[in-house]
Amino acid sequence: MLEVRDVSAAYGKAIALKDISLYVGEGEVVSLIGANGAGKTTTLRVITGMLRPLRGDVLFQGRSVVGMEPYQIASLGIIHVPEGRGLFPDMTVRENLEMGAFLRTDRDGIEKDLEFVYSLFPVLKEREKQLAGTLSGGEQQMLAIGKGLMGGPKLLLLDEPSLGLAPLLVDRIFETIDQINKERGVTILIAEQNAYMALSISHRAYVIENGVTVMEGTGKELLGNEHVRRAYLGI
Amino acid sequence: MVVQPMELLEQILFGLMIGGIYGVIGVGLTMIFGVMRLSNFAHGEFYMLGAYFTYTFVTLMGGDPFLLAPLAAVAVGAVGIAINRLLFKSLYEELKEAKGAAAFYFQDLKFIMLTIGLSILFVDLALVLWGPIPISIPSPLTKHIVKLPGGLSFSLARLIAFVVAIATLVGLYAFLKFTKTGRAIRATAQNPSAAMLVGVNIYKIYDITMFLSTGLAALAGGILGPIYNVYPTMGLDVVAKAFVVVITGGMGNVIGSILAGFLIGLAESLGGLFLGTEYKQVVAFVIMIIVLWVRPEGILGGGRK
Repeated sequence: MLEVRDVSAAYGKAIALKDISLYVGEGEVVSLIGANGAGKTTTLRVITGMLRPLRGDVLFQGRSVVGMEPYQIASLGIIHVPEGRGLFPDMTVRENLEMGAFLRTDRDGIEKDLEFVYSLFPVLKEREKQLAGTLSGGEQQMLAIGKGLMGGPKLLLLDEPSLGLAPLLVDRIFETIDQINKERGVTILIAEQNAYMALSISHRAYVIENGVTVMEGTGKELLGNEHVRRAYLGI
Repeated sequence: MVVQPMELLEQILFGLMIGGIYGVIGVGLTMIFGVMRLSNFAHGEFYMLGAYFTYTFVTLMGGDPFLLAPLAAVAVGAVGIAINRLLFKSLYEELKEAKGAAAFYFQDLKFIMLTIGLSILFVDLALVLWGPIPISIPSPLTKHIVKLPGGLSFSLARLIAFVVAIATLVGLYAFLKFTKTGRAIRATAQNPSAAMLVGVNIYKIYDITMFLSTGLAALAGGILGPIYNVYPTMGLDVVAKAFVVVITGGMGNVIGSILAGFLIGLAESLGGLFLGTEYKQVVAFVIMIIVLWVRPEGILGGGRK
């Protein structure tokens, strides 16, 4: 469904990605794990058109998306829940969810997805009229994922969904991600520092170090891998 | 000095009328700042162009300036879009790539110089096209006097200017609050990259913002044209006031600018009455200083972005 081919990217003169390649099959949950600054976020930014790659190609459903504007890529069904959650702080929870469905015109579908999001995260329904900026960190993350789902994604990109959350909430968020994949069939690509959680719900994963994919395998394989265990799982 | 109650009431009404116009001009300026993060020092020239366009339409087509001012506003708004695409776009492209606060401020400095240059260019252009002599746009409504109870009287032109200003502000608020495009404008102001990711074409939003901003300034110029004189440097007199309104209200905050517009309009009017008209010009700045003293972020500004 998604293929990243030999992509290199930089911020000014600072090289962030060196010939990175990966693919995500339809219906899969794939993780990118790695340390802070390894290139996970940059990879997602290249996929959604927020950063132009220096070289390489990004194919979505067989079609190159390099050079397209972010709003055009979003209209293909690639929805990115960015680092920092990407919320509109002075809008209500409800308005944020409606903004998530900005490109859609199917009112019934939007209404159904809104109900689905509220069933996943009932607290969002309770806080419907509250400003997003006043929510707790966990609630904001739920809203961020909910807003992503409102876009009706074919491919959902999640950047650090566990960042800044208490362990119990992290479990809850990852259970929900798993549920979204299983119940809705949404293909998911996660960039995550919390390697254990990410690997345990992923079909496959890539380990990124200094802008290069150094390892690839199923979630289980990588959980058992010596290097991964020492570098990322602290075992 | 003894102030008569009627005189006081008259000045309050007068202050509210001017305040509404300040609100319209200030809202346009604050929108550009809020959505595009840019300070437009040529904002006053769009006000000036609105007045001259209205004058030209009246001369060419005949008809009342109050009917033709909205048309002039649309025409000036189109000029605003053209300037946005030709000159501003490359600058915020660079802003998008730039990282860190330093990049942002240098960027803003470039933009300030660019818009100051534009301001000079437009003033000179107006000198060439319409000449240096102040003109007034003829409207029969300026001679039509409305008598209010208590012996107060206003020209119908002033009342219409006030009503148009209020209607415009209410309309703008409703547009931003309740329409899909309005919501996308607010989303872009609050978090531009998140807006892009949900599928907002922010370049289109910038076009719309420039259209509204310059169009509002032009509308204010068009409806004040029949009341005051129209001359090439009229925008320079207004732009400082517009910045005072925007800063006092909280930069980027639409409601804040509206409130600050009324506050400063009233303060100027009453300041002129109590302190003498020679102090009128300084009142706005004193109000700004006091507000910033108490609330450095302005009346409704600051907090989250």
